[in-house]
Amino acid sequence: METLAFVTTIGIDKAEEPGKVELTLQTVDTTKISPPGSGGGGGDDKPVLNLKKTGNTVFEAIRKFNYESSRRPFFPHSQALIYGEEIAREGVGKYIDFFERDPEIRRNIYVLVAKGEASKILEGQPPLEYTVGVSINRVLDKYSTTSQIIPITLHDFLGRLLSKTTAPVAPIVLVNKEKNITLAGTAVFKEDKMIGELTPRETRGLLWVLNKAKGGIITLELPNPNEKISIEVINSQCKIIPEIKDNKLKITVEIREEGNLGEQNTPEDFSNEKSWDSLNKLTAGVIRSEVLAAFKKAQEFNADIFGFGEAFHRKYPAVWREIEDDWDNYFPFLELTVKVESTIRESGLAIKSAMPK
Amino acid sequence: MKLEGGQISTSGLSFLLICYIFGSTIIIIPGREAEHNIWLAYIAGMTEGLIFAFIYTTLAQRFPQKTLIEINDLIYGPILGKLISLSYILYFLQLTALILRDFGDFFRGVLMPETPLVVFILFSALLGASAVRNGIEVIARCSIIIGPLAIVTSILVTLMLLPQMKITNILPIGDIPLKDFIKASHTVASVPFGETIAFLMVFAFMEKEKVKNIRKLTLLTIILGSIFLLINIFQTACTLGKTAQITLYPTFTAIRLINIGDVFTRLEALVIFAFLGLGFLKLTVSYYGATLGMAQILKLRSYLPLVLPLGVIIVVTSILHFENTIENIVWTSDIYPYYSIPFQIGIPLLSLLIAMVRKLPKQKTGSKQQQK
Repeated sequence: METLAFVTTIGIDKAEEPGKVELTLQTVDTTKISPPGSGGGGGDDKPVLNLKKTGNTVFEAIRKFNYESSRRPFFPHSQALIYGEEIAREGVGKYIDFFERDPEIRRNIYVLVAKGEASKILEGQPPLEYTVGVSINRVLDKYSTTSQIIPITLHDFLGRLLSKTTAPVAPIVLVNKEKNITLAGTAVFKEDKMIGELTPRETRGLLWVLNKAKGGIITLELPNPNEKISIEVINSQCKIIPEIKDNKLKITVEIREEGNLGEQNTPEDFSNEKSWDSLNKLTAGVIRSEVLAAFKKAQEFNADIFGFGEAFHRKYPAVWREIEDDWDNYFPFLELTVKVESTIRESGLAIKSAMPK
Repeated sequence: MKLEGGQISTSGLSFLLICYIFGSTIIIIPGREAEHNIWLAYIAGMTEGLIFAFIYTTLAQRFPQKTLIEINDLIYGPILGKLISLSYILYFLQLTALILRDFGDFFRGVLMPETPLVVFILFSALLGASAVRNGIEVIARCSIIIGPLAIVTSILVTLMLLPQMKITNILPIGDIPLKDFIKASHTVASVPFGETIAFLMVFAFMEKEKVKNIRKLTLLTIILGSIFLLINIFQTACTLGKTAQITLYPTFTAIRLINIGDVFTRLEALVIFAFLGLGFLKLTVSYYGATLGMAQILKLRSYLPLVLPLGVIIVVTSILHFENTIENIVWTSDIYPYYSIPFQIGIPLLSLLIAMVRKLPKQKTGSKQQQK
C-alpha cells in the first residue's frame, strides 16, 4: 500500500513535441484520506492527484512518473482509459498495445474518447464521486437507464479493432458548463482513427441493433406538438438477417421491444385497446427512425459500426471471401430494412391521467 | 526385483489421465491457428488422440504388468530396445522440462513478474520430486483430490463466463483452409493427447484384475476429459473472439473478464491454484516415467537415487530450453508437433506391428522368466 499509487483513470493526449504522447494519471492520494474515526473530513479537498508526463511511448511516460512520485503507479484498479480527441483522430492503435500487453491492466476497463483533451477531463468535477474513473465507470455500468451511452470495454474495443470490417466505437466524455463530467454521444472510428460522432439519439439507434438497448425512455410526439408521452423501455431483442439477392446485399433488422407507459402529459384516455395499440405503433416508429439515423451516419462515415460485415461472413462464408477486402465499397450501398415490433405492457399504477380534458 | 510396489485403482488412473490432458493445455491452448474453428480442430485432434491411445493401450494389454522399457526390450531385443528406451527417457525428461517451463513462464508472466523464473521451476520440480519419490500410488491418489476440484472449478468458470460469451464468435463453422486445419488439429493431438505415451510407464501398475479393462477405461476417460477440455475451449473462444489470437494465455484472459454483479470478479487467483494442481500432476507423471525408466534400464534395485539427479537435469533443461517466450510459442506450434511424431505414434505403432507379426509375448510363463 505504501509503495503504490493507485491509478483510477488514465488519460492519453498528444504531446506538444511531435511524435510523443502525453499521459495523465489520476491517482488516489492516500495521504489525504483521513483514517475513520479521526473526525472531520478533508473539507473540499478530494483525495486525488493528477500527474502528467510525456514520453515516446506510453510505457516510457509511465516510468517517468517515478522521477517525482515516490510510489509506483499501480494499474489493476484503474477504471477508465480516456483518449484525447486529437490523438483519437490520428489513430489510437499506437497507444493501445501497452494496455493489452501489461498484466496489470484488466480488459474490463472502459475506453472513452474525450471531447478536447483527456487531461482536461481528469481536472473536471466528478459529481458524487471522488475520482473521475469511478464516476465514469458507474455511469457506464448503468448505461441502460438511458441507453444513449455505449459502454465499451478495452476487450470490446480490441475485438472491433481486430475485425477486418467492424468499426470500433467509444463513448465521448466531456466537461460541461458546470464543470461536471458528462457522457454524450459516441465516437466512430475507421480502423484506429476517429472519423466522426454519433449523437445520443443515433447511439441508441446503434444499441438497438447491437442488442444492448435494455432500457431508456422513448418520447412519443403526438400530432399536437405540446402533447408528449414517455415510454420506458424494459427489454429489446434484435435479429440481424443478411441476404444476398441478385448480387445485392441486403440487411433486415428485426427488433422486438417491450416497454411500459411511464408518463403522459396529455389528457387522452389510453385505457382502451385501440388507443393502446396506437402507442405501440408510435413507439415502433421512433425506434425505426433512430436505427435509420444511426445507419445513415455510419454509411456517411463508411464505418460498419453494427458488425453487418460479420453477419454476412457468418451466413455466406464462401461469398464473403470475395467481399471481405472490398467491404468499404459495399457498405455505403447496403440496403437496410428495419422491422420493429413494439409491445407496451404496463401502465404503472395509473389507468388514466388525472389531467383535466 | 520390484521397483514400484504401489498399485493404482481405476478411479486413480481416470483422474490422473483427465488431469494430464488438462495439464498445460488449459493455459497455452495450442492449435489457435484455427481461429474461430478452434473447437473443430480440437474435435479432430481428440479423434487423432484416441487413435494414439488405442495403440498405447493395446500394447499395454498385450504386455500386462510391463512398462514401456520392458516392452521395448521384449520387442526389439536387449540392445536396440535399450537404445529406443533411452531415447524415450530423454523425451520424458524434455517433456517434464517443457511443462515446468510453461508453468514457470505463466506464473512469472501473470502473477509475479519480478520473481526470477528459476524460483518457480525449482520449487515446482522439488514438489514433483517429492511426489515421484512417494511412488505412483501416491501420485494417483493426489489426482483423486485435485482432479474433481479442477473439474468443478472449470465448470464454475464456464457458468460465470456465460454472460460474456457470444456464440457468434465461433461462427461460421468450417470456414478454414484444410492445411491450416490439419496443422492445428495435429498440434492439439500432439500436445495433450500424444503425450499420454508417458502412461505406458503407469499402466503396468494397475490393479492386476483390472488389466483387461485398461483400454476401455483409458478411451472412455480420454473422451470424458476431452469433453471437459472442449467446454473450456468453447468458453474461451466464445468469450474472447478475435482477441484470442493476440493473447498469450487465452483462458486466463477470459477468466479475468468474469464479472457477476461486481461481486464475483477478479477470481483469477483462485483459478490459478487449480491450474497449478493440474500442472503439478502432469509434470509428475512424465518425471516419474523418466526416473522409473532409467532405473529399469540400469537394472537398479530402487529408483529413489535417480530422482534428484534427473531433477537437476530437468530444471537446467527447462531454463535453457528457450531464451524467450516467443521461442516457446514457435516451438509448440511449429516444431513440437512434428518432432514428437516418432515418440508419440511412430515407435508405438511399429512396436505393435512387430508384436503382432512375431506373436509376442510368446507365452505367459515365458515372459515371466524374461523378467528375471
